[in-house]
Amino acid sequence: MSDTTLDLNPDQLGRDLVTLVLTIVELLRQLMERQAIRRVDLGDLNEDQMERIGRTLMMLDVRMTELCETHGIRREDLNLDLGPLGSLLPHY
Amino acid sequence: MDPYRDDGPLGAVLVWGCLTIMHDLEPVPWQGPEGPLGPLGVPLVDLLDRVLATGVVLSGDLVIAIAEVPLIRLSLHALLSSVNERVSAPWSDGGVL
Repeated sequence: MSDTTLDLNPDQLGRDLVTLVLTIVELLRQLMERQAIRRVDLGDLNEDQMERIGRTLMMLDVRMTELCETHGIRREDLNLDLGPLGSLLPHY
Repeated sequence: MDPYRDDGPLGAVLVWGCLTIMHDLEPVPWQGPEGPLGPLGVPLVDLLDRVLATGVVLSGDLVIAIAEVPLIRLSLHALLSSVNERVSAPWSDGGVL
């Protein structure tokens, strides 16, 4: 059995934790985006709703970029490798 | 009648949905050029999106027992789906939102 000590770097740990949290937030944002697109495609939304959805999604995207900048993370780092299930989010 | 038994249409739709997803795509290698792709070749978020569009019913039963005497029961029956013409939002005015 190999050495079971964990080598923890406090800075990297903090950044990895933030990356994980932001990855989950990004998952929800992308899921909501896809769901909103489906709803728009169904055609059962009025003009006002579509406009509000579009504007909100755009603001969420901008906010995500800001959050990543604040924490010194690249947007492309927000992902999870789930082994046999593939990656969580698309690679950009 | 046990309220937690439901092998109804949504369950059938879920199976159909899975079969459709499996049917459309060719098997792809585990490791793609950009990184792990998984057996479906798409990121998991796209799979979640399609599952939501199809709709899922999750149900579970948990019984906690001591010396084979059942003491606590937890039963869950949950619907998780996109809001569409088949599955409407539960409150007509959109609820608290």
